Amino acid sequence: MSNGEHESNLPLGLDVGTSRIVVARTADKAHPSPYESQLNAFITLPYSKLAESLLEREGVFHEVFGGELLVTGNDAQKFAEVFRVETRRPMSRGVLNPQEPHSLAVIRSIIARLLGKSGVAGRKVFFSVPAPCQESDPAIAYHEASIRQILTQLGFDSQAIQEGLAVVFGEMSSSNYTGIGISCGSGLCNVCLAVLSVPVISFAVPKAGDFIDAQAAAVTGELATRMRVLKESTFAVNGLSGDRVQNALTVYYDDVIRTLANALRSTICSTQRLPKLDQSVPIVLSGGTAIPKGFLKRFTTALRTEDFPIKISEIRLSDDPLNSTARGALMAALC
Amino acid sequence: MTVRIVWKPRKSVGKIEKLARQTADPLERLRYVRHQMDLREPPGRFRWRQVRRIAAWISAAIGVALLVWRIH
Repeated sequence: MSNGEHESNLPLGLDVGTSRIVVARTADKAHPSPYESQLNAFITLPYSKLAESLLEREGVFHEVFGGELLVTGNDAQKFAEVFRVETRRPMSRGVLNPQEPHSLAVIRSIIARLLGKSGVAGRKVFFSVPAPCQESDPAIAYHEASIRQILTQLGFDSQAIQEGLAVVFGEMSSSNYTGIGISCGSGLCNVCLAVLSVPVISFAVPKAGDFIDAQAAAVTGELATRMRVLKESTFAVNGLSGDRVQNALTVYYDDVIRTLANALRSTICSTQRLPKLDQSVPIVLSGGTAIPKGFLKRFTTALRTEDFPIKISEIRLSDDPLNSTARGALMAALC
Repeated sequence: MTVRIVWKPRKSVGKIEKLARQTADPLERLRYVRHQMDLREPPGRFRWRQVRRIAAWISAAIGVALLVWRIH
């Protein structure tokens, strides 16, 4: 529990991602690191006094919920490895997972663990929400309201910020917050074109890290979790090789990159009354899915295969891709 | 997908950009840019209101001129 939060009234930035929940705060003595994160996952164990006392003794964060023990966050991953089971996910495609009855309880548990209760009533927190994939996505309204309710119960004054815009705030001070921020996460790729900090176009592409894991696992007969571990450890998007797992990951990475580049091009082309941009704008990629070597190069190639409707000055990867959204949310909260 | 139009006289935007570049701190720069953009009236509404007003005045003037010409 973040006890230091009780004494502070400084605003916070919260990235509620499908894979991880990250909090960004102004670094102080209590929190020398500005970022803290927890895996947005859990496992369940049948309730017994013995199991509960064991978890308590080991300092494992858990909750009793409906006759089951819920182990959430980073500890869930450790337990999943020990018991050789897949972790369960409270979120899917950027919003609360409708197939998962424990989703709200798990998210509440992880957020409470990261933020603690607000020591001062009305402490400001900006939390990330996904952009809609189509014109309107009713699931986002429910997701946003649920997160807001959790934060209100913890004593925070919460406000939502779209993930792509948070990336713009976190990364584009050099271009006066004009440019395209892209967050390639697990559930979605969130995109935002902003002009002088004002969002002009926001949308999401429903193909991202989870799609790659699931498809690669399906064609290789492996577990999706193993695909994710491989992807995060040694994988590089650098063409086909003799390794079938590497090949499967490369194929589906290419699919995601092509889909993202095409969606970006077609959405900007189809937008009427787009503000005239005299100067070229940067594109910044962030999020865990953009980390593997070769992603930036392939995305740049995919974008440059056809004419792009606006001039691009540079395409770069964020210096800190996993914390970029939380940093942007914190900057919005500090404004 | 959401679209928000931010049209404005270009000169003012250039001025905002120029002044924003004088602020080195990213947070101060964001505060300045957001504040300046918040001050701006939504441009679509502003422009059309002006156009409608001008068109109404021109139509009225032509109507009066035709009326006076026909009477004389």
